Amino acid sequence: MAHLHESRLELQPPHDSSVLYRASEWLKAEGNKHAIPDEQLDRLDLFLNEALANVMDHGGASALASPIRLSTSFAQLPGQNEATITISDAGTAFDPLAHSPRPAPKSLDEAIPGGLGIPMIRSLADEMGYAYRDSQNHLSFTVRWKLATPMEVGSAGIPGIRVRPFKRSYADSSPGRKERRRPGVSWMQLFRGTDEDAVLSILNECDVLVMPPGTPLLKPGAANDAVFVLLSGSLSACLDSDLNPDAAIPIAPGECIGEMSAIDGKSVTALVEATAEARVLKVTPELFFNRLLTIPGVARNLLIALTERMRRTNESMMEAQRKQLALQHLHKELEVARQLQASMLPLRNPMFPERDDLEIAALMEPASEVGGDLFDAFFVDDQHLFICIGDVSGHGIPAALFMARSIGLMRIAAMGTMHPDDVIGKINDQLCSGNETNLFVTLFCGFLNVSTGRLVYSNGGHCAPILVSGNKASSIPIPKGTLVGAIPGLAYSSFEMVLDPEDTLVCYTDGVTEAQPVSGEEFSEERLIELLRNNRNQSPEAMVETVRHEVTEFTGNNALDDDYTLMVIRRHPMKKSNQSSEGTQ
Amino acid sequence: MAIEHNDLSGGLRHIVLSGRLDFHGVEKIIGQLSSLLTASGSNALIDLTQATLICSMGIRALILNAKNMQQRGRRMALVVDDGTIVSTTLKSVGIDSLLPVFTSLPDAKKAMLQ
Repeated sequence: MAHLHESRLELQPPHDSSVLYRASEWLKAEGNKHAIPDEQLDRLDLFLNEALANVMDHGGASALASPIRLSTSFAQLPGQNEATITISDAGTAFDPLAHSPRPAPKSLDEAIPGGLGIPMIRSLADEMGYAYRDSQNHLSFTVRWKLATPMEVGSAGIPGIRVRPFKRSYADSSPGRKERRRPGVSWMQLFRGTDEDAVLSILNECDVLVMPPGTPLLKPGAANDAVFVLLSGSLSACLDSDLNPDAAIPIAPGECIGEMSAIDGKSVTALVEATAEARVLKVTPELFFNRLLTIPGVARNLLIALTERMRRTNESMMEAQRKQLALQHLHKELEVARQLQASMLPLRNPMFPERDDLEIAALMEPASEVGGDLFDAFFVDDQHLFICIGDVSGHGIPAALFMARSIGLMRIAAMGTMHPDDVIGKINDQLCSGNETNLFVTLFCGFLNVSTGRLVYSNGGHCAPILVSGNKASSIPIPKGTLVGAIPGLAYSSFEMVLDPEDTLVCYTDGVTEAQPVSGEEFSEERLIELLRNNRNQSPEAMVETVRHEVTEFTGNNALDDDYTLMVIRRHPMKKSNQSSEGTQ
Repeated sequence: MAIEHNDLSGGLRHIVLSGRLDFHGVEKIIGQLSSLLTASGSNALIDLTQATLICSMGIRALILNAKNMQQRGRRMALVVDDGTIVSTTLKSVGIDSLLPVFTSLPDAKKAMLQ
């Protein structure tokens, strides 16, 4: 049976060469955790470097603007171990395994300097895989190595742990052995002030486990009847149910471990693992209970150790309570932030109940407490309605703050012009100025003359709205425009169209079309268009509800992975009393 | 990533590249490496015994510089510790059929000064 451990890292844009360093450090930590041998770890590292550089150099704009996801899996198979790293990116589809390598040059004259990366990683992998799915490249690289021989596997039955007799380990005279520098046995918590010769005569019958970093000594729920003493290196005990590394309690050389489960015979409650190479003395129950505890002073030392452990646990619980209170306070503040953000958006349906020439309904749901989506619709004069929708990169508080800034700037800009391209251009320059966060926003905005139906609109990297007219539904043509807040000084252009009476314009963010089940395809623009066409006779409010319901049905989950916004705008025929005051643009 | 050099007697420039020759590392030293190789007018030994990793861009830089030197009638050789990831990587692209590769500096010096 394979034991599989997985870990993930998401690298957020912008992607530059610092990404390589961060990814490499993460891989190194994963390698240490699973005791991946240096040779295999080096090969994984090299692959990671090559593949990430390839994504950044050749993946195109979509790769640079999207997160790059890394995942490692580590499996213990019969007779061997296996580690795989997979890189997922949104760049141009490219299968490096489909490329036939060039024949190897025989001399420097024949050599072509480039194109070395692919043959290099292919020859260094034990296995490679490639798939293009969900608009992502998924490239994987696997290395394998043989398991330690039975001689190298500890008596604890834990792979990777070597065992040596205490007698030899303790008497080792080679320089650098930390336990060599510790005289006697009194530095060990259990044996303080005891008869050294009597203790040593028993310890000489014990084994010492040599544990590489990341190797577990005790696992929650496992049975244990031995008592362990850390001789050198470091161990940590993690009581947190989620095995949060921040909650780990360090164990210092000389301290004992496992005594509670050895005494009461119950399962282990903490994960104890080596955080640096550790040498651990293993005392069997027979030696511990029948012989060591009979030496005067050992039982008292054991009680002291247990008392200290209890005090430390109490302190940890107090600290956990303090953190819990701080978290509760943070949740309250987030709720206030959520309410504040909601108050920035016109979240009332319908939006203009007093008007009979126009009907607008909208919904914005953040994926977390606060989100980065925005929308707005307001009249700049009696005839002209300004509409906009946008999506800030990323999620959570940074995106929400950027969203608040974006919508504020947009409202000011929209009051000073009737040209949507000027609005986006102005906001772009303002957002670029002092944008230390490297966030950006996609925007679609326009001015609709509600009397004539003329809509002038501009776009900054946002998805095209959908027009439902008669029994047809399709995306409207949009002008090309770079996302907003990334590059200063850009000029944007505008298109125009006419919304006939009873035409419906549906603006949305990619949280709608990219919603997807845990595994499977995205909801998609095609599915949204078809849904809107089939429900064209519904009111805008009902349309908003129908789409949200269908997305939930499709994903099988009410929770969202991304912020979700949908705004439906329908123009109604003018009443005669209004037509008399109709204006033109 | 660091680059150091010294000129040995007999007109041989010894250039030591140490640390990670990943894409970031290569970007930092590529210009200096080319300058050191073109400025000396002598043969060169690129010592990779202290390098912990070499990426394809690093190998590309070595081949490009070696070709340039060859066109000027000069030679470049590599010194690499056997059994390391750097050695495995270089072998994976067949660099030993393009350039002389030595596993010890004295052997490399002796061969290049002949």
